[in-house]
Amino acid sequence: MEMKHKDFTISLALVSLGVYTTVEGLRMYQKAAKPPYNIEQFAISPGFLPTILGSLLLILSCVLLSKSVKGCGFRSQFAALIMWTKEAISNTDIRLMVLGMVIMGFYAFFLIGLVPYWISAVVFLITLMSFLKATKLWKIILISFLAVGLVILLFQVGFNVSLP
Amino acid sequence: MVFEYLMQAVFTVLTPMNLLVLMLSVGAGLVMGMLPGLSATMAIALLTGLTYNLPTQSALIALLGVYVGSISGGCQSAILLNIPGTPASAATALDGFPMAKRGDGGHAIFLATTSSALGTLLSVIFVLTLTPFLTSLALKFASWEFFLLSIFGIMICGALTAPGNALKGWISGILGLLVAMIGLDTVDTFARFSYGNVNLMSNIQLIPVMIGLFGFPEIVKSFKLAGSGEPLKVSKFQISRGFSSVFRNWGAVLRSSVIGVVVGIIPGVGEDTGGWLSYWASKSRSKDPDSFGNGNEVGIISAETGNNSCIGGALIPVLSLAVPGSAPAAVLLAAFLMHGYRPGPLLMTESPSFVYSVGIYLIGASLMMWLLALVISRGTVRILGINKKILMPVIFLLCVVGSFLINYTYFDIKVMFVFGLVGLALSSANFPAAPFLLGVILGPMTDSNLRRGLRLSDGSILPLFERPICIFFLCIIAFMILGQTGILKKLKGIRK
Repeated sequence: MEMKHKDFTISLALVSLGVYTTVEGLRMYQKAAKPPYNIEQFAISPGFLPTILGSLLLILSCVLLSKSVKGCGFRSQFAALIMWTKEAISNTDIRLMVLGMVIMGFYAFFLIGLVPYWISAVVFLITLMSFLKATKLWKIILISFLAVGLVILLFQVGFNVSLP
Repeated sequence: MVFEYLMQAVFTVLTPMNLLVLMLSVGAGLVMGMLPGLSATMAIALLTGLTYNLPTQSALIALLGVYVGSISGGCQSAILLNIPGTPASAATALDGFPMAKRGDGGHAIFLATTSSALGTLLSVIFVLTLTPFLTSLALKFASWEFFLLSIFGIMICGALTAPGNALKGWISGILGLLVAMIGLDTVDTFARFSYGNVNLMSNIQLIPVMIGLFGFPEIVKSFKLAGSGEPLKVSKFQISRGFSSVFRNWGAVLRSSVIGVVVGIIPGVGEDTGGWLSYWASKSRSKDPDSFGNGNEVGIISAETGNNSCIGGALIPVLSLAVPGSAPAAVLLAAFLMHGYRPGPLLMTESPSFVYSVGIYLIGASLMMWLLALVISRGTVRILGINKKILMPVIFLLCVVGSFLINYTYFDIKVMFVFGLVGLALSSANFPAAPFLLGVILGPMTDSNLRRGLRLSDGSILPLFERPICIFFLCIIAFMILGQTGILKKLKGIRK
């Protein structure tokens, strides 16, 4: 994907974020003007800086957006974006990265806390390294147990802190 | 009398027991600093409890040793993995990682370690000699100055890390500032962007954001088929080559030390800002600024000297005013109090030898750090040779532990993951992560000082244009905007 296409996609997301932040900042100002805060002056309201930052983000993102569509227009940028999405689905590197992130996300959001730390960590390492075909399976299992053992030794025994 | 105090401190640090304490504490600091997510603040906080039963002087040596070690250790993972071990070494990664990628990792670590040691040593001179003068200057900073200082810091960082497209750097900085707005605000305890979530109300923690932004993209990128199985060539460092590089750039070392000390003195602005400002100063003075970010030696030397000289700088207000110059210094202040010292205006009357002892212990710690870091680096340099598909999942494990240890909550692990996705999206579109991080660091300072200033002036921004330091900052900011947007060039063209 060309940098111009990436700038186009990101700037669209940033423009939306800028609009949302500005509106949310103004809503904060309205909320803070009521009891128990009673802050009626905008400049000292908690919504002041978020509104300013949101507006700045909106302006700068619009500049980036206009730079990205310069010389090719909105339509061709959208077409390029759709084309890239189709290509990305069949791209091996992107598939590996996405599925790797899914495994990491599963570990971070669900597995930790569900079972004792050492089990979750060993399962995660074996799964991810096997998925990535890092080395032979017996080596992966050995490395996983060693790495988790070292982490436990360093943090739980050495620094006397409790692990997740 | 001063000489007597200094000699007494030298003899104290040279006893076998204290030398062992120094070695262990500096070593622990280096390891903590090296591991992504374990900050200097956390290192000192963890060690404070362990030093409780030690004799007072040994405890002081241990605390200062771990402080110096952890700030310096961050450079090794920044250079070898492009994951700064601490926020302070984020600027080091800019030139350190490209150097390591071209097979000069050992040399980069030598430069960073030597510059770190020099930065700390030079800052000790300031601690011992310029404390009263620099403290009076720092006291002139009020709300408006702090506000402009933080804006200036973010803008510099944005312009520096997105060469040729400062717009992306500034957008990244604004995003960081917005993240810092999440939670209860410090002035009115008004909940912003929290949606009734208690975890969000207690603000987004810096460390999970840092790990996510810097560590996560590197981990995910290593999953690609392309590039796997190609261990990068690394070289062992040559002491003579390293020293000649450092001495050739003695100007950058001195300049960065002064910048680091001044930044360290200013309360709330820590080692990370010191590193960035020193880096910027060297880049802007360089005849070849384009080489910065591509493995320039001066970049590493400036960043590391700058962040380490902040240690001495941050201790100056701790010792004279009991106001910490940085987050690790705040924990150190608490540790000093725990060991029976009362830093502040009465310190020189109550414990006159204390300041000199701190100076000597810092010198001892920096020399020990230099020695240990170079010994350890022989092992860490080999990290680059390990298959990334084995190394990176283990690094992710450390990232998870590092995020969890901040508050012992699972929420911080999720925050790390979410900001990892943000970091990945930003890096794929060439948005620098460093201004984002600086925005998160300086956000609370920006917000509270702006609103405090506005409250004192009844909503008027006029004081910004009436105070000399503010005018100075405004001029630099305006100059930077004009320079980065090309307006300055056009104006010069019209004049010609």
